Amino acid sequence: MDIQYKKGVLKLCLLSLLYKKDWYGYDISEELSKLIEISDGTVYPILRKMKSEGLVSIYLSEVSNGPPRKYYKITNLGKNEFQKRAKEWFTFSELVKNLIKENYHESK
Amino acid sequence: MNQNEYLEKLREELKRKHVKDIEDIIEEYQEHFKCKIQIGETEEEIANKLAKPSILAEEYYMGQETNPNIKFQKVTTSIGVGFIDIIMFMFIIIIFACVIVFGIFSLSLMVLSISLLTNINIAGLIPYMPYYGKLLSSIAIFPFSILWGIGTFYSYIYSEQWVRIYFRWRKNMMNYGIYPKLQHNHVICKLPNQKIKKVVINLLIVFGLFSFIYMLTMMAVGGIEFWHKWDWFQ
Repeated sequence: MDIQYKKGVLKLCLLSLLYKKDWYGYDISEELSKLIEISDGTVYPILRKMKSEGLVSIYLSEVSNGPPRKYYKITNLGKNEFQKRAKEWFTFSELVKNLIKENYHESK
Repeated sequence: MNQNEYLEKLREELKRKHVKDIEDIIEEYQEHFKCKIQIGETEEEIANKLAKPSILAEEYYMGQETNPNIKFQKVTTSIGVGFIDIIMFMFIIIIFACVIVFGIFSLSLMVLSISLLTNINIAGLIPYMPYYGKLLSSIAIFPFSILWGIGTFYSYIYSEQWVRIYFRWRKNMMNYGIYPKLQHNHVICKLPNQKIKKVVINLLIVFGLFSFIYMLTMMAVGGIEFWHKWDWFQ
């Protein structure tokens, strides 16, 4: 899958993952890599941008063996943004689906 | 690439793109390496699977708010550096003038030594001295001239190194410190003990000979100030 195609969507997916629970940076990066084919490490810049936009916040949590870990948590602004973008996505993908389905030949 | 190489490259790319909080970003990737190593991957594998540092740096750069002050900062830095340039320029001229003077001094001592030895009196500048005086002076002055020659050489190396450090600092100032430290000049690094010993021995020879000549000429003349006896300064 082309990287440009994915970039706008990754933010949406990350927000969705963060919606119900807080994530450690590495864990959410691994989770997303499982679901979508992306290079390692590309999640971190996106998380950073989301933090600077106020969509997520960061807190440190003590861990038994080692330095405190950085956890990402969605903010209210982030939740609103997610709802907005999710709606956009569904509308958009429905439009695209209707446009291309007549010419798409599913291989049997 | 291993972990350190990858992170260094990433650091470099982030600096190049003027990204803020670089160490914070690097920390996150260190965590990434740590976690992946724990599940058994090698540093090489991890680095290969990570996106290229230049691409990541670009992403971090795009994700930043543009700094409206950056143009202003560049202008004020340039003005400051410009002022220092003026002072440095004069300083550098003086330093290299000194190096040239050392060189000329060394050369003239050499010429003096040779002319004393061969009795060739260039433009009648050398005052009267009995030949043994000339011979001894010649032998004393010769190593002295070589010492100055060595001194000139080293002072040139140091000055050049100094100028290069200044220009590298200047470059860093204008470009947010992305250039690495300069390699130390290889000649200076090789300053081994033998060279210093040789220099010290030369100095001792010179000093010894000069004292010897001085005493001899004093004895020959029967007085301390032999230049008066021979009417040097009239």
